[in-house]
Order: sequence, then structure tokens, then C-alpha cells
Amino acid sequence: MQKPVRIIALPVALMLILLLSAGLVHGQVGPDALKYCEEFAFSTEEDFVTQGPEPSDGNPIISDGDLLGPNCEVCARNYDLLHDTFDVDQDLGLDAADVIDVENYLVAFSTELDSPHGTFTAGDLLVTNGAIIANVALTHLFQVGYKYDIGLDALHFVGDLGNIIAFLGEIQQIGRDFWVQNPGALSEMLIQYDIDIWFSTEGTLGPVDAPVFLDGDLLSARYGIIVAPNKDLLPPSVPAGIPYQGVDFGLDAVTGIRVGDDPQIHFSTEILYQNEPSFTDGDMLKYGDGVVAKNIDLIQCFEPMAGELGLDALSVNIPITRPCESRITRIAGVDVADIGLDGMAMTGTVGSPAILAPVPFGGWIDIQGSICPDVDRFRVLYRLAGSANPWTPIPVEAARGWEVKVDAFFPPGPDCLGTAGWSSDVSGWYNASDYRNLTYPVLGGCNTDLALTVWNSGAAVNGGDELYEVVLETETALGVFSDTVRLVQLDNTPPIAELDKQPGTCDVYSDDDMPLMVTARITDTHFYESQLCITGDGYGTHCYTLTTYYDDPGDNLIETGTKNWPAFVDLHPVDTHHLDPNPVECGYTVWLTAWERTLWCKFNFPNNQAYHYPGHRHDWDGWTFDYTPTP
Amino acid sequence: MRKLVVWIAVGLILVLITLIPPGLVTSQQPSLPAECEELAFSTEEDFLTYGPEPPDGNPIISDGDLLGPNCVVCARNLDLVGLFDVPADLGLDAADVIDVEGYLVAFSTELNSPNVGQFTAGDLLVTDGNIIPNVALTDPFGAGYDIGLDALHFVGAMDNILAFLDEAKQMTRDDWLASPGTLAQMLARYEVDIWFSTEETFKIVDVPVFLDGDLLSARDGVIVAGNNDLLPLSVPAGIPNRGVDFGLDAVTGNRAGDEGWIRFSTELLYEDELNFTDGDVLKYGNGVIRTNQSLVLCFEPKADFLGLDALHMALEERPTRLYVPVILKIVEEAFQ
Repeated sequence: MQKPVRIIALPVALMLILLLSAGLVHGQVGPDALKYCEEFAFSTEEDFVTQGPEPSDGNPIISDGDLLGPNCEVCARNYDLLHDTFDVDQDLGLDAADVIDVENYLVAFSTELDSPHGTFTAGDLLVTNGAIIANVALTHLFQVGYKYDIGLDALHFVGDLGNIIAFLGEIQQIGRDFWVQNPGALSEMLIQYDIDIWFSTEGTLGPVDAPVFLDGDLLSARYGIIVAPNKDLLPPSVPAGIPYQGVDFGLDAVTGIRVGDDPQIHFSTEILYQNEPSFTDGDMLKYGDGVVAKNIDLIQCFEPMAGELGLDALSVNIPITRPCESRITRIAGVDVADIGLDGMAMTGTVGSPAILAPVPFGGWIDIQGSICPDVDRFRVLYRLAGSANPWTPIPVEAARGWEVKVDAFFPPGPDCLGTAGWSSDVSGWYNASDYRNLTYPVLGGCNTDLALTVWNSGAAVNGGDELYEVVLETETALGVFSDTVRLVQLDNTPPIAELDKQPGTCDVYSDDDMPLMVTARITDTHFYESQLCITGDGYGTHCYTLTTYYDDPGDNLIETGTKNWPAFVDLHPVDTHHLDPNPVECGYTVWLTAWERTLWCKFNFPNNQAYHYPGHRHDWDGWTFDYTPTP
Repeated sequence: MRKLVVWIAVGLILVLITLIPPGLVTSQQPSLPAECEELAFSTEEDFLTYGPEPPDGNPIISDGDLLGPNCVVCARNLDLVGLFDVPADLGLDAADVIDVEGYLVAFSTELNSPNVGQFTAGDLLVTDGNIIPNVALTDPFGAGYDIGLDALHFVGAMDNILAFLDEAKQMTRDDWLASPGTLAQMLARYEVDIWFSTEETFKIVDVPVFLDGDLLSARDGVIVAGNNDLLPLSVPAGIPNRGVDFGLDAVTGNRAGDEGWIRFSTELLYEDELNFTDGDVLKYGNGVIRTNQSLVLCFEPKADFLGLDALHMALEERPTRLYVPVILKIVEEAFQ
């Protein structure tokens, strides 16, 4: 009897709704209500009925698509966010949110569902001013070749609030199609405005056995790097991160302060954890520090009938003003926070796929940083780590031909179409005022990522393979000051790879000898991986699995190359039958390539362009033998 | 001697391989491991198995993989979506293993197809190539837009389900979009139904027509089981009466469509006298029958809880009539 009742009841309900709809309006709390979310905003995982204060539109049902604030405030119904700007009547849920500017009704967010009109997907970043950033633009720097919408689960804008608002103002005029066709333009624009979008996705990217990033990692749209991997977000006792500890806990909501300090990241996960420290997927967690607010703390004011309603979007916006600090922020694109006490980029912070070992630096290393308004001039210095050696400046003199972008004389107005020379003096000092004018968008700067200097590390005074201290020195009206000393491990010596062969001897093999074990030796202070390939008689090339030194603890590869250097050791068997089931009699060549881990850097001074190549430099060796099929 | 035997064996294998026609391998119908008929599920998040290594040697289990009992990986996500020429893991949001031997699995993904316009995360996909767009499922409710697909279960005689899928294969996604009402008619004709839940609540002028926690019928356009029916009375489930929509993240049942056989998972956990997590298997109106930990334990993961996003269980009613004579005999003896 129950089912027929429902069958009758539903059409009746639908008819009633249709009859009533002419006189009803969708729940809206209006733009003024956003002020309640100026400091704190969130959304739940599911709908519920508030038993607490009635929302201003009189509807006690709180949707998981509504933006909620402290003290039971409904800051925006889903309809408020979507209808006027995106012409969407339906509730599409709310998967991520960042309240940027209450006065100008500026909220960045994503939905659970695609637009019914096909105008955006659930993976796109939407802004209440009508801007739509396609998902592929956010993930562009991570996705090589095959690009697709991988969802948007959490987002947070980082940078000067004025710059963020200016950026959102500019993209308001840019349609979604532009981002789809020019996904790389987003990171360029973020650099131009010196801001970033931190975000997480719904799905993990990359091959299942070697993910590029997890859906639990916090990502940077500007740099295409993992800002905070899942393992760092959660306390060390939580088995977070793949493959490090074993579980991807997801990243369902994220927020922080605008200056982008890791310790201020607050977030929620996709799954709960029942051991110590326990948390649910609705709790608000702090970077590396566990629960700071239980889910019930967020929702109890609504007096819901259940104590857990999930946490799908989170935005905390407490302005934290900090005194300006002139400092080195990145070395060869690596955040100084990701450089360990050994002077190397920490495990997993460099490379795609990530190199799961510390990574040293080499080549022409660009050093990034920030220079405060009170600084008159600055320079970067180095010396051998732990020594009392005098500091050596890192100049880039005019002869190097460093060109930066400036406004051209014509056309009038800001255009960044001109170029100008940029250099230090012979002692490495740069003019700080000029630097600020060249870099800060608010000052019309066209080079937001202009390096503090570029270090030819191969010519370092104590050798190109040593551990050095690097420091920023600034001169103000009050004197000369030094920033925190940073450690940088150099490696400017390429690897050596040699196959075991006897010059002048042509080894002859037959089917009985296949597969043939290749013996070789490799050396490099920071060895990464090697690969063997075989070719012959126009069969093409067959390459064996690329093997890092940490893939198999049982093989002969170690972090400095092969075991027992300079002895030759077994590497991997090869077989002519891998080229063809019936290989012909011919000469066949095996070659070995060995790579080091070093983050190899180049700098194009005329174009002011830095290049970073992790695990790039390599050596190779070939060996040819004669093969005769067994009759 | 041993080497000679090996070489003879290798030679024989090579000869056999060369004798196999080139097209045969690809035309062979793959099948799922038999265990997946009994139980199949997916987790909410990826994890590393410390239990038995999957046959492909990769210890990372994706939240897009279909898992079975005893640590079996029934299908990698790429096995499922690869049939649609998709080379990326798109997650697994719902699944119903229809025929193990015939490799017939109905499912939905977390993400839209990277092949523009091919399918969305709200569409029902079948490994035989069927794509039923979301709007066809919700058409009897008058939704008219893609509202997501969070759980699904086919109901009806197996032969009818297979026949339905066979005919449905003749329909392209565009055909369904042009005529979404055809689905309900076709389901009625084959006397089968698709039970499902959506990602979001469908409202008309702020009044919920159904919740994303309700179990729906694609054939009849009715709520088969409201969120308030699925969960025990002591749980404040259902809107507006009891106060909370707990969601419906995965569902399964028997093919006869008996409400009492519905098994499911929610989007939210609940902590009160009756506790459950959003990864536990719950029984219609009756709470937890299997914890999340018991599902994933065999993989020896580093966390006890990994969520539950898709669920299939072989739940056929036992032939109780066989026991009726026994019961009658007991009653008879009692009155003697």
C-alpha cells in the first residue's frame, strides 16, 4: 500500500508546487547577507532543517549549496550565488568557496553539479562577478599532453587582496572558452598579479602507479606545484599520503591567510580517521596539527537534529598584517620551506613524477624573493657552509644582457611592450627602488617574478659541488641587514655511465646466450635513475624499465650510482628477441643512460626566463655486439 | 636437462602464439573474477594495500577501482572507462555487477568524460557501451537537468535486464537526450527498473521533490525508499520531518526489488545511540550490518576507514517456502 500512496502523492505534490510557483520566489537572502561571512564561511555536505533561528527568507531548510556563516547566518542561498550571474535556477551544491570581498559581493566558488546550460562544469572556478575559470586552466601546469577536467574540491586565493580583486576584475571579461583554448594564460596572469590560487581536485592525476598529485594534495595554479601534500597537511601520526604512508585522506575544503603561510592552512578531509588523533570529515583541521573545531562547533547554532553534517567548503578571512620582510623566498623555483638542512629540495617536492629523494641544485640558479619599500639596495651573497670565509656577492653585470619588460614609449599607458636592461654593479648590488617598480603590479611592474639575482653555480669559488650558505643583504637608511641564511647543495658534475666492454673486441652471441646480462658502472653524487635500451637492424628500439635507485633495494643501484664503484656490476638482462621474435644475424647495440637528480637550471637573460629541469642531466654509453641465431 | 625442457616449452609457446590469429585476443570477452558477483565496492579515497598484491603488481588502490571480497581487484578504473576510450581514472561513484561472466557492470564516474560530450559523471554507463544520460533517469520526476548519479541498482528478472540493456545499446546518448521519456517506457516494457540516487536534492521553488538521500525509481518516477525509511526511526533522517538528509552514497539489493533487501551507505556519519559511519553497509531501516573496516580489512590498509562509494551485493531471498512444511510440522506438533 505504501508505494501506490507515494505514486499518487508525488504528482499531487508536483501539481501543487506548479500551482503555487507563480506566487512564490526562490529563497534568497540578498547581497547584504554576505557581510555575515566576512570572517568565516562554510557549507555542509548535506541538507538539513534548522531548528535554530529562522533564516531571513523564512525557509528553514538549509541546503548543502548554501553559504553559511557564524551565528546561524545564511550568507547566501545557492540561488543567490548562481541565479543572477549565471542564470541558473537549480541548486547545484557548493563544493568550495572563498569569500574575497564582502563589499563588492565577490565570492569564488565551485558547484557539485555542472551548469544545466552547459556554461560551466562542477570543476570550474566561478566568481560571483560572472568570471569562470575552466578547470583545465587550473591544472594546466600539472597535465602534460592529455588534459581533462579533474574536478575542484577546495580553493583559496593567496596574495595581496588588492591584486586578487584586480585579477578577478580583469578575468570578468574573459569567457570560459578562452581558458579552455589558452589554459597556460592563467599561470601567466597569476604571476603578473603576483597572486596564486590554491586548490584541490576531485580525482587523483596521473597513472595509478605513479600519481602526479593526489586529490588530497593542495596545489598551486600559479606554479604547478604541490603546495602541501596530504602527508604534510595531517599530523605525522596519521598515515596520510600515497605512497609515503598509505592513504589519501582527500582535501574537501581549504582556507588560510592571504599571505599563503603553510601553518595557517585550515582544511577538511574526505574521510574520517579513528585512531589518535581522531577526526571526522566534517571537522576543521589545521596544517599538521589536527582538529581545531569539531563539526558540531560549526553547526550547533542551527540546532540540527544530527551532530555531524560534513564540511564541503570553508573560508576564513581574518586579516593578518605582518611587517614587511625582505627575504629570499625561492631558489630555482623551490620554496625555501621545501629546502632541507642538507641544502637540497626535500623528497617529493621536485619533479613530475616527484623525485622521491633529496634534490641538489646546479647550473644558473635564479633566486627569488621580496624587497620591502624601505630598502635602498640589495644583493645576494654566498660562502662555503660552516666556514668563516668572506661572503662572495652574486652579481649579474650589464654585459650579461639581462632584459626585462617595461612599458613602451608608444602606445601610451601600461602595456609592458618595451624592454630595458637590468643588472647589478660589480659587487652584486641592485637598486631596490627600480626592482620594486619592475616587479610590483600596483606600481605598474611588468616582471612579477623578477629574480633577485642569478647564480652561476658552476663557477662557485669553492667548487660547483659543495654545500653553500646563501643570504640576502639589504641596505636601508638604518643600515645593512641580512635575511635568514639559506643552505644550497650544488651538484655541477654530470654523472658517468659506462658499459663493461673491451675496445677492439666484437663479442659474438647466439640464442643460447640470451637473455644477456649487461654489466655496467655508474657514478654521481646524487644519482637518480638509469635505463637500458637495445636496437639493431632497423627493428627500432626496445627500452627496458626506467629504474630509480630507490625502486628496488635489492638491485645494484644506490643513491650514488652502482654499488662498489668502480667495479662493473650486473644491471639488467637484454635480449635480441625483445626486438623481434626471430632476430636476424646482425650487429646489435645496447646503450645505457644514467640521470642525476640535480635540479638543473638555465637562465635566458635576454628573455628574462628561468628554466628548471629536475633529473635532467645524464650520461650514456653504447656497446655493440654480434648476434647469430642458433641454426 | 631442466634448461632443455624450458626451451622446448618456450618454443612451443612461441609457436602457439604465432598460430593465434591477430584479432582473437581483442575479440575475447573478458570476465570479472567470480568473487565479484558476491560483493563489489569502491572506496571514497585511494590507498595502498599492504595485503596481497594485485595481479597487475600495483599496490595503489584507486577510489575508482572496483574491489571484491578477499582483496580481489575486480576491475581497475581504466578497465571500466577504457571501454569508452578514456585513458584516465575518473573515479567510481556507483556500481552494479550484473553479469560476472559477461563482464557486464553498470556504473557511474566521479568526473565527466574527457572526451567532450561523451558522458557526464551523472550518466549511467554499462561496460557493454551503454550510456544512459542522467536526464533520462530523472525524466519521470521532471528534473530536466543533470543532477548527478550517486548510487544505482537494477531490479527485475536477469533475462529482462539483459534484454533491456541489449535494446538500450541501440540508443545513442543523443537519442536519449532527444527523447528522455523513452527510458521509463522501455523499463516498463521489460518489467525492469533502475533504482538510483542523485548527487543533489531536486527542488521546485525551494520545495524538495526528492532528496539526494532518497532511493528513486527511473521507471515509475517515485521515491522507492525515502531517506527516512532507509534509516532506523531513531535516526533523524529525512527532510522536512526529521531534519537531516543523510544522503545515499551507494545502494544494492536483490533483483526482485524487495525493500527489506536494500543495503546502502550514507554521505554522513551518525553518532548517537545508533552509530554508523558513511563507510558502513547499512540495512534498510535497521542500521549497520557490515562495518567499513570489515570490507577493507583484507587489504591491510594503514587506516581502518576508507569510505564506501559504490556497492554491489548478491542478495537473493532464500527459498523460504522450502521451510514452510518444517514450520507447519513444528506448529502441528506444538498443538498435539
